[in-house]
Amino acid sequence: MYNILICDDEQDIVNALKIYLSNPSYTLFEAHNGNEALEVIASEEIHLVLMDIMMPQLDGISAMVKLRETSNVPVILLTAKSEDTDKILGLNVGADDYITKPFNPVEVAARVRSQLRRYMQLGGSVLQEDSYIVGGIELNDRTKTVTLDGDEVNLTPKEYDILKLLISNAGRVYSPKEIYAEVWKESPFGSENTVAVHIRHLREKIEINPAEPRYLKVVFGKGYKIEKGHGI
Amino acid sequence: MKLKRKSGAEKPRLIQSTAVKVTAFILTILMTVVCMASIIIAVCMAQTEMYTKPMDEFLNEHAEGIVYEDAGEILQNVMGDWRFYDIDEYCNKRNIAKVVISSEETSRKIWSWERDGEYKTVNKCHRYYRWSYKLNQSIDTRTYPFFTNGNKDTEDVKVTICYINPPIINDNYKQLYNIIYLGYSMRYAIYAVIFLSFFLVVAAFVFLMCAAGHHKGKEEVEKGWGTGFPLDLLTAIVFVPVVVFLWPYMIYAPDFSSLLLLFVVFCAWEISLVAFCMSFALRVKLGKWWRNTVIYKLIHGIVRLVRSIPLVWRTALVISGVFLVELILMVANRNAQFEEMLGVWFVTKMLLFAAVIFIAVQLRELKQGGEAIANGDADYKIDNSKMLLPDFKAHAENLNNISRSVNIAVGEKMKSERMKTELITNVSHDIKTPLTSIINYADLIGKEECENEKIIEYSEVLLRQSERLKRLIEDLVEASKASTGNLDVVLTPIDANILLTQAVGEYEEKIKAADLEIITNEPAEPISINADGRRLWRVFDNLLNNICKYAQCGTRVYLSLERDGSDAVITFKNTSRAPLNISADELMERFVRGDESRSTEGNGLGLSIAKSLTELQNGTLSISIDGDLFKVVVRFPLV
Repeated sequence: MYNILICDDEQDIVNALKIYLSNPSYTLFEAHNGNEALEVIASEEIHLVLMDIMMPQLDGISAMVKLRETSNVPVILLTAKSEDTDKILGLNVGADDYITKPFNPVEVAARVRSQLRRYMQLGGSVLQEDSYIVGGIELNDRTKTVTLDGDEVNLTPKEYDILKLLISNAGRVYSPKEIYAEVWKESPFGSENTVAVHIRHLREKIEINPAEPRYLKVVFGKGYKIEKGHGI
Repeated sequence: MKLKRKSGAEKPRLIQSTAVKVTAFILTILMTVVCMASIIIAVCMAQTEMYTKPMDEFLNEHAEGIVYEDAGEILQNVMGDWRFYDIDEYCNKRNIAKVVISSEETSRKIWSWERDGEYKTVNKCHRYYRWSYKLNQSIDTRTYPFFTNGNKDTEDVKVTICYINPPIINDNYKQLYNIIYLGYSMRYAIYAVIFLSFFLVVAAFVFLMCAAGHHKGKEEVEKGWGTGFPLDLLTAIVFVPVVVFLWPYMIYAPDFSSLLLLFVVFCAWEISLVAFCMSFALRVKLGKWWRNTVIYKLIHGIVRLVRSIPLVWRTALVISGVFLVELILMVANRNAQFEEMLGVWFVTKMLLFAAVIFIAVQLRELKQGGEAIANGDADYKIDNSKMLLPDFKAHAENLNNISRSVNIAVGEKMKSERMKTELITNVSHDIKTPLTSIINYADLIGKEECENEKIIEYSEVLLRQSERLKRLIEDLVEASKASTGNLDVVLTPIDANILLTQAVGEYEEKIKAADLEIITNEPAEPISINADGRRLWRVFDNLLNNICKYAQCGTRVYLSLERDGSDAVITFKNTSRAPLNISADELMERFVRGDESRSTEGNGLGLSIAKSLTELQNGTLSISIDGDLFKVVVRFPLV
């Protein structure tokens, strides 16, 4: 059983989210401003917070700053602000994920599940040899398996090799030519398109929203990389 | 001339033909020589009065030497001590028809000789030329008894020789006659020669001037004919030696042989003169001919040098120069009071100098302020606290006021732009919250189990349209930000080849879904441009999205990257599905779409955003429409 707090000043949105997250294993709590949210968190054992930013009395950012003083519960910010600076601010003050309004209900559900898995399994998971972890992705080179938030992902051998190359050098940007040379072990004469297509397929498999990738990022005009760190 | 007429049919090409030009050149030289020679001959003939006197009279005068010689010989043979010739033989060998020796005083006929009667008919025909000659020669009457006129010892005789006219015997007289006859027969014809040759010279010269610089197969005037050489130096080379050479002949009266030499030298020099004229004509055609001269460059350099000196120093230099000239003049015309005047002069000039420099310094302040304001530095303030002259002070104040008002206007403009963007951003936030509920509940309605299928269909419409509204709001915010430059753009060198590859990779399935085939064309060498990868991707994203939306199914899409001078050019080409009866400029406007029916998805902001974003990254985006061919050209400067 997971306790989820939904915090938004708009009752209609809270209700809609409650419908989308209605799941036997979730217990849903609701709040309508930052203060209420902090009260609920103090009284209940909350495993995940979905929080709007623009709220009366106490806004989402301030509430999260206060929350982080005592708790490291995962927080997904849910807001109409879609500028890069807003996202960066939210993540910097301690948010674990960020969803912009209007949101895709399926994506919200997926992100909630992802954050819960990571939060709950974090203590138990032991870093094994030959395995690489970035955010919710874990690549085990011994068993040749890739898991996303604990669920196994089916990758083709080429996709696996590309992911392994990028994840083992997280943060480094690889050009399509370099990827081709490393993975196909051939001279990349005009075959860069193949790499781009493979990357897109890979992204569809490991990203919740492939249009806004959190892990496998396209560095336009340079190449591709896996973001170092928790990967948002 | 002949050549010119031959190719006259293709007149525009004539000035490009080298053969015609060479012919015209030679013609110019030759005809000048002919013309000059004819003029000289005509002048000589006029000076010897050939035009005013009849030929007989002219012959009379110029045969003087021959007559003198013949008369002497005849006198010698008739009355002298030694008789070398038989008189008949002597006269018959020459064109002499009749000789009469008579006394000058009394006209008494002393001796006479006449050619045999066969020539009488000629005589009657008045072809005989009467020649009277008075010979002041004393004859000793004692030796020649028939010279008897009383008591006088000597007597002056007159020898009258009549020559046959026209001459029949080849002698000196005939030669003279022939030359004079030739002169007389030519004396009017030479005018015609002068005019004709002059006309030819002018025509050929004008043609050469027109033809200068034109070459075969080239429309434009081209450099050549030594146009790279400074004009004044060339002039000096062409003209100075001639002047030096001619100088002695100008001072001393020339004799015939030196005149001839002069003529030859002139002919040789004329070649270089015509070539010089062609070079000059070409320079005039090329324009700004005075620029390629040593004098111009010298003056230009001095002017630039003086200009480059800062204002105050320049003023000091000029005023010191003026004072120096004044001082030199005073020293040159010094009088008794010079010594005492000098002190006063010096003091006043020093004061004047100080005042002028002071004004110049203030002027410099004003100038700097004006320049700063003109360059857009509206914050510049001129310090006018030290300006003593009220006019300057007021001027500085005015300039400061201008800069202040410019500042205010710029500030207001920026504020209003920022407020506009902020307004759009804020409104979009406020719209998004209710929109979220609309989308979510429309989705929920669709998921409800319901017997009425229309409800499900309607909820789908709601969902689709609200999704579209969401995109429109996002694009609107982006368009507003991009067009006002309210976006952070970080320019880094990026590889355009990789970007193209990535774009094709990202869009491969969408392109396939739209039943299109994408053909890329890129050079093997990497092309690096300065751009913001994310923003540039947005440009590509919009353009490729447009292609997927508006290209005719089953056609090919061409994507090419090439280097063009210092630019990288990325071209998107596709065939439009709907007829594009709209101008390229209009398409770039916001909310304008290629299909008038507006039946497809899209809001008409894509191209506008792409253009604004490209321009934010110092690139250009242009559209061209040719029938159904839709072409977008994105240009970025190379790194």
